[in-house]
Amino acid sequence: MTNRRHFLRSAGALLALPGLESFGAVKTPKPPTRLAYLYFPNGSADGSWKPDRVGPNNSLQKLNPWMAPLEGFKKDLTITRKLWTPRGNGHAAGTATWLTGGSYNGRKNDAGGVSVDQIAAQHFAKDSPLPSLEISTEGEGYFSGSLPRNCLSWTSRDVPAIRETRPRAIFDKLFRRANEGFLDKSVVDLVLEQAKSLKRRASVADQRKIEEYLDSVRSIEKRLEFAESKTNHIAADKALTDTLARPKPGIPAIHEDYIQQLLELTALAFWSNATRVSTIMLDHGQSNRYFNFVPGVKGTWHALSHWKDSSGKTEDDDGVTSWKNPTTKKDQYNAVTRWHHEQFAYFLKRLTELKNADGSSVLDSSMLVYGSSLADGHEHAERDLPIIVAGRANGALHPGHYFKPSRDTSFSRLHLTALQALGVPANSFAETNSPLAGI
Amino acid sequence: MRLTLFIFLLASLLLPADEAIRVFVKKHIPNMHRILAALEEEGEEEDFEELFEEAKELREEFREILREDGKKLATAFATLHDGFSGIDIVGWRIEEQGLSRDEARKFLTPLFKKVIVNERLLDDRKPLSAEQLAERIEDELIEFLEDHDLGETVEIPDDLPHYNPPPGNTPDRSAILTGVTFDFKKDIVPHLEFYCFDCHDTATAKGDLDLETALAQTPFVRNRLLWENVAERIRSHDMPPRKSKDQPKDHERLQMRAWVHEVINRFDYTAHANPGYLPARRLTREEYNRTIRDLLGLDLRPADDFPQDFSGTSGFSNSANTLYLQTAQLDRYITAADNLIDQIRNHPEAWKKLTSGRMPLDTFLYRAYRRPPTEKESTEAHSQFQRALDQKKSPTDALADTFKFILVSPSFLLRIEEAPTSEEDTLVSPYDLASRLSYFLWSSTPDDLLLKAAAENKLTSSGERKPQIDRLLADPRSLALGEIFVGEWLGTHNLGPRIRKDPIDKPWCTESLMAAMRNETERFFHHALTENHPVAKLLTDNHTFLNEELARFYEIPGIEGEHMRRVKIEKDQRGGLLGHAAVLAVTSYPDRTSPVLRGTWILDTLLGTPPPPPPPNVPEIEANGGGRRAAQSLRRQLEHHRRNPNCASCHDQIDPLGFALESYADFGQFRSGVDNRGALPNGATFRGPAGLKLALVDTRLDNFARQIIRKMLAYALSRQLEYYDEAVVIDIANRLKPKGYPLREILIAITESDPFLKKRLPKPKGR
Repeated sequence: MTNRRHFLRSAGALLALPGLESFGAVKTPKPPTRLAYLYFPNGSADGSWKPDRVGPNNSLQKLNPWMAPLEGFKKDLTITRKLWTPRGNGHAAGTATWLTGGSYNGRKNDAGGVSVDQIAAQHFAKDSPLPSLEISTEGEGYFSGSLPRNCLSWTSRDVPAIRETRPRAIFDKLFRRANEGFLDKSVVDLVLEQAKSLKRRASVADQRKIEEYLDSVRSIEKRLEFAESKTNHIAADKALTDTLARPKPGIPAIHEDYIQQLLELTALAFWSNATRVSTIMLDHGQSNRYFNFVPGVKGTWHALSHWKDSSGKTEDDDGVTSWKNPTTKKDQYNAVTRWHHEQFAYFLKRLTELKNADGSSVLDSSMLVYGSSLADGHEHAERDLPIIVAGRANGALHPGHYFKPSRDTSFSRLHLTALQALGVPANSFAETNSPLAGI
Repeated sequence: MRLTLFIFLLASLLLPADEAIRVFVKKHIPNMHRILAALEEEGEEEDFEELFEEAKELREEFREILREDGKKLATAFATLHDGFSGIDIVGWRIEEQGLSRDEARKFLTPLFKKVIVNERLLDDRKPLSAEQLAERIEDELIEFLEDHDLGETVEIPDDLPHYNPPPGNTPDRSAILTGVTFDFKKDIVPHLEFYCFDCHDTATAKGDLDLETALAQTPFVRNRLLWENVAERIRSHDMPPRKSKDQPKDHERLQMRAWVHEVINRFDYTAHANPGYLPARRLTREEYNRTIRDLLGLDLRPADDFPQDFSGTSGFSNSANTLYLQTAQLDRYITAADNLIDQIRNHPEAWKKLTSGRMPLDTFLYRAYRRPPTEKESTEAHSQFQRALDQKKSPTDALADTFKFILVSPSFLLRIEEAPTSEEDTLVSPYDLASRLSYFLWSSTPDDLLLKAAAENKLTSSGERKPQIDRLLADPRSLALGEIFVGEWLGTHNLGPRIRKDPIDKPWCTESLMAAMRNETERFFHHALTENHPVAKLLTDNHTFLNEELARFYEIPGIEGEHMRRVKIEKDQRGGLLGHAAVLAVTSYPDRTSPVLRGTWILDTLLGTPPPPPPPNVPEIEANGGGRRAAQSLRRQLEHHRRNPNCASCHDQIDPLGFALESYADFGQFRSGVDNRGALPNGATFRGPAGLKLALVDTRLDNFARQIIRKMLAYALSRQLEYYDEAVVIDIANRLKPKGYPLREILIAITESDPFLKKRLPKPKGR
């Protein structure tokens, strides 16, 4: 547990900083609005998304025991119900289309559209060193190589954004300085030039692949430019150089450390204005990771999600673990969900601690969407998805309540709300042109 | 003093409550009371307390029902639970005291009656008629007794032949279609629309089956598996669903099947010959590792840390259409270039090898780009070198920086072939062909000799290619065909990284054992390929590759040391792919075998004839545990399942194949005394792995050979196969059938096929 904040030796040191100038961002009276989606697989059990007590105007008074880790943040979040994905469902298609609102075509690896985070990223690409940050834990078990279960973000309808799983690689992406490594402007210019001349010689069919390469180089070129402008700042800022230490290579052995490192890096990326858009997969869409490290839990996540079958004989039960009855199994399924709420609470806490130049917290200026592409895992249901919206998005959101529309409401409408909260000029998203009001 | 008083008060409050529970249980759930008493007497405190806790909850629930719904339902509730407890007792006595089935039946019948009747009462459902009730009880009895069957060793007589071929003149399913006439526009389209489009039009596409779109895609072989599935569903009367009142007449069913037979099975591919196009793509992780190894001279495996490659649409990681190249990858290429060159510099020998010679930069460029650089590329590299010198870097540093630059340039990272100059079929250029060969056979960059052959234009004729192919196959690097091609085709590469045992529960399942399992399959195939074995031998060979640890796992004595070696198998427990632990482990669920999974794997992966996907809402059939008893109970359940004609049409083909492999437990351990007999719908019967192998070789060899050709072709071309590629598969199969499909000749035939040697630009979309 000691290396949880390996690269953030003291939160105090960060808090003392006057905010964003260190990274050379333009000083603005109002911090930029940030957007993060946090995805977890396998859904959440019936009843686990209902608060215990709701006050006037649906204000959240008391969450339920499974949501206890989030109790301290109930004024910063809205628990939503009845959201659904009319066109995509399940572990594979549901994951691939969670953020596109489309339907998934497995033969063409086509998710039906650009995902909401990538629309935002493309809009802000000019102004961010990193248009967006795609993170995932390293897959375990069957389906780790499955494309739809591992792809949440799509830069175009048939090109998924590849996700980073290594803390060190993410750190390098965010904080590598211009004078580190061999790559400089002249190398970038040269490989760009080579790619362009290859493209001229290539067949039409191959030009798209070379274009992919060109795009990647260009985004790295842009990062270098930002890096150059911030290198001097970083060198001059003793407090910051002390704070940032490069994570060790590889993957932390303790899962909690691993997830919290990933969340910490995202928090720092927002705070330092390295990016405005991030998506984090807390596991791939059909995770059968063992959660035996959570007290009282035995078995893999996906197996637990089929809680009504406690025989120990479902698809990826390991044949060793069995449960006394569905209730105990459901409790363990809920305990895994609660464990992820703890990680989300950690993220909320860090975003509250990190301050913008104007004194507001990074959470105040962010919109977070946290949830799953399945409702109750046993039913494989796509209606009434477990979703929480958090943060104030610089005033665009009014958290602190229980949002339960009377009818099934498309998740796409929340995505449209997100785009508009960020200031992306979008009038429609997927099948909808009406954002979700009252969030 | 006050504390003691408190405890006393507390105890006096608790004791009567406990007593009340005992009284309640004794009166209302006497069977539970008997269990509690027995547990108490045996001193099983923990179990007692657990059950007592349950009793407490039952009492509270009982009182609540009594309060709200009255005495009748409360009594029903208690009686129901008394029934459950009674059934538990009988189960315990069967298992622990050997209660006979007949006796158990006697006790169980009234207990099940109790449960069924009271359950319905509590659910507000109508009581069952006496007849229905008897039937339900019988069902429950059968299931219960099967679950509680300890299972006896099944004695299969030794003299039972391993394999009986199908009786002569097995009816050919398509024979009935000869002479059936139809008119596509008049008989087929309207019938599909009328009977199928309610659910399977584009808008509904139930079960992801969209016949409207498929009907618009010609030639229909584009959707070969889909139409074969449709014909099979129509034949077996699965579709339209029985509950639908519109059922096609018999001759209409025949017409639809005849149409599918005509446009799929009898399709003439020759008119559609097309070599296809190998699109530009980046290297896979494995290719990158090996390319770096061969280029720099050290095996550093930098890509193990890269974002993973997805299993592509072709089933192989080298499938061009899923090899995306994005910032995440480029980031890693940049870091890797930096680290790799620095690491090489720390190895004086490797660095010297790389930088010696007259023109190290030009040589490196040539080898990295797998072709001579253009004049411009060469000038650019040299000016980059000069620039570093101008910045006062030492010549060594400058050279290192230039190497790094080359390692991130597009011509190294991407495989881009020369663009065809016309729309006609074009021959692949010699250098591109060198790369095609080396990435097919080595998953790595062409070596100097291969590049030299390309330079001298000595790869054009098959006579000149042959010594090169022989050389590549003789090189240990060709083991990549086993490691990657076979590993990804059969799925055995998942063993270890993705499929494994819990190391705490199963300490014998070490990394080295799993590596040996993978190696067995890899080397076995590689050997068969280089030795030009006929494909049948992949199933029947009585040799395999073992090291000490794997041999011990197989209970084969006399093998010592870590290295894998070729060993003759004396017993018929092993031998052939179907006895490989890696294959058997990746076709099992964790800790239990699945005849369905193994049967499906044989049909789909091995033979390329996947059974259609199961209809939706099929309850899962599961076994408990990995033992013999579980295997028997599972077999019975599956047999029961197959009595349902809806399921039978597919499971009659799937399950028997898996049954034969029941001689192997879930990680491939041999187990005796399991019923391993199977029968195929065509009347063939077999027992055990030995019989299954004979049956497959006798009846399915053509499928097996075609599947190998198909898979190897997709891998060689590193792209998804298109419908027109089937022409190549059929052609190679027909030519090599008389020889028994020798493996090396299959490989050679692929390197001589049009799609390997030629290319045709794809038509731009929308034309």
